[in-house]
Amino acid sequence: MNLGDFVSISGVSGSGKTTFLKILSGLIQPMNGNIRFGDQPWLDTQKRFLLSPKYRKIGMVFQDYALFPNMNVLDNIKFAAGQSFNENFLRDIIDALGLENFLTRFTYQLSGGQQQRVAIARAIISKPQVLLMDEPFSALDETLKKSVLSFIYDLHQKYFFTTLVVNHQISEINAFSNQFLKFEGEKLVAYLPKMEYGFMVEGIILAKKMVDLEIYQVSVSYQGHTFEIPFPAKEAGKLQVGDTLKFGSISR
Amino acid sequence: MEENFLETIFLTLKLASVTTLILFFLSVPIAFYLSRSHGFFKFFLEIFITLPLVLPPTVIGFYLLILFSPEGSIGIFFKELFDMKLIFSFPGLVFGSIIYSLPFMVQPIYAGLEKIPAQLIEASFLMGKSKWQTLFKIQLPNCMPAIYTALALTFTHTMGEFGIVLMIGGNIPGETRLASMAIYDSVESLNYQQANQYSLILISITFGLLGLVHFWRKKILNR
Repeated sequence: MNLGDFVSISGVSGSGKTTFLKILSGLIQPMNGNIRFGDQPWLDTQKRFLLSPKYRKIGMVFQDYALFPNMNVLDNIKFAAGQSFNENFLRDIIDALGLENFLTRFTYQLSGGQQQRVAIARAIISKPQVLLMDEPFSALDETLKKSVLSFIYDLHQKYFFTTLVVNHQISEINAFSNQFLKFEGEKLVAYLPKMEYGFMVEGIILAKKMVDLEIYQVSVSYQGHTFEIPFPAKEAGKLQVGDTLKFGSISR
Repeated sequence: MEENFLETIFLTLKLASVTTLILFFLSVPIAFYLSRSHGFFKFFLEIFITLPLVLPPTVIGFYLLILFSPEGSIGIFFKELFDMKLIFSFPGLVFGSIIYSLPFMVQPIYAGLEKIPAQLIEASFLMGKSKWQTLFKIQLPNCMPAIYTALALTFTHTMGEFGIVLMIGGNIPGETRLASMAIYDSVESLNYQQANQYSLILISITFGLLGLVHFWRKKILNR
């Protein structure tokens, strides 16, 4: 992993995406392998080295939120923030995620979408160096999804969180990603690295998604594997469904 | 009503309270250990904790009598160190009750801790919290129904203890004479009316306590 990456992880359910996030966060220890974050070693089974999860500065949005039922919304967020946190940043998060009206409610009194937003707030309040999100928008409607998504992307740009997002289906968030991972049968089967390395891939436009963001859904083949990735239409010019697209020179 | 009726009831409640209090602080770490480990020691500990549940209290009482007696190892230890007599004394009863009621405190708390979703604990770890912070801020507050049950069961179970009292407590008014002992004593002397008085008090307190816990549990679980 590298600082500031925005990685999109796809694959059918049960293919190991969640396990992958748990291994990265240190909640599960693999039999062998190693993890490096930038120049910081996190795990090296050969050297029997494991950096405890609490030193990894990870913010995680769990698939089923994992909010604390004994605390209200504000306390949930503050518990994650720890002793020192920025009051202004807390305000920003509450505003951006629209949590203002139920800060004193308990989490079991909230709807799924509200709980999900609390889970996102809780994951980013501590300004983590790595943000792991397991299907973070599954319970949000389209409008909310867009606003939450652009808020997270702004934070990503501003604080340079390394961000990994698991998506069950192809989704708008992939448009911000610079790397793609694909899981199948409990294995990582494909890896599409950063576009800016200058390799050439070809893609076929399958559909146009999210009209106002002007994003095409593009099918890309790389090393024998197919990825469905969104691509910003403004960079690709005026294209039609079925057109072939050449990537490589375009930096994303 | 006999002369020291209230004294006996009070002593019974005192023993139950002291035992419940000590057992709570003893059982939380034990339950926490059980919920976290998978080792060989856990295997033995679990069996050891379940033993008082199934063994006749007289068996426990018999061995405690041997150990607590002035010639027994624990008896000598307490005599030398604190000049304390464990046999036929209130402190001895407290010791006996702790062992006798241990499963009633540990098991519900252990079950309560086990029932908490692993993700809550993982989330807390990722927030940089220690396992003790997680225990006190997340795990225990989220198994309050189990804790209420454990407290009530331990209290009422200790109140009704008889076999161990018979072996190591005796029947000294104000020192070791408990309600259950008084009932036995009354029946022996064919004083059924007195036995009935003690019994009704025990039933009322137990019923009230269990009712209260049931009400709290419902209140928490229904939200």
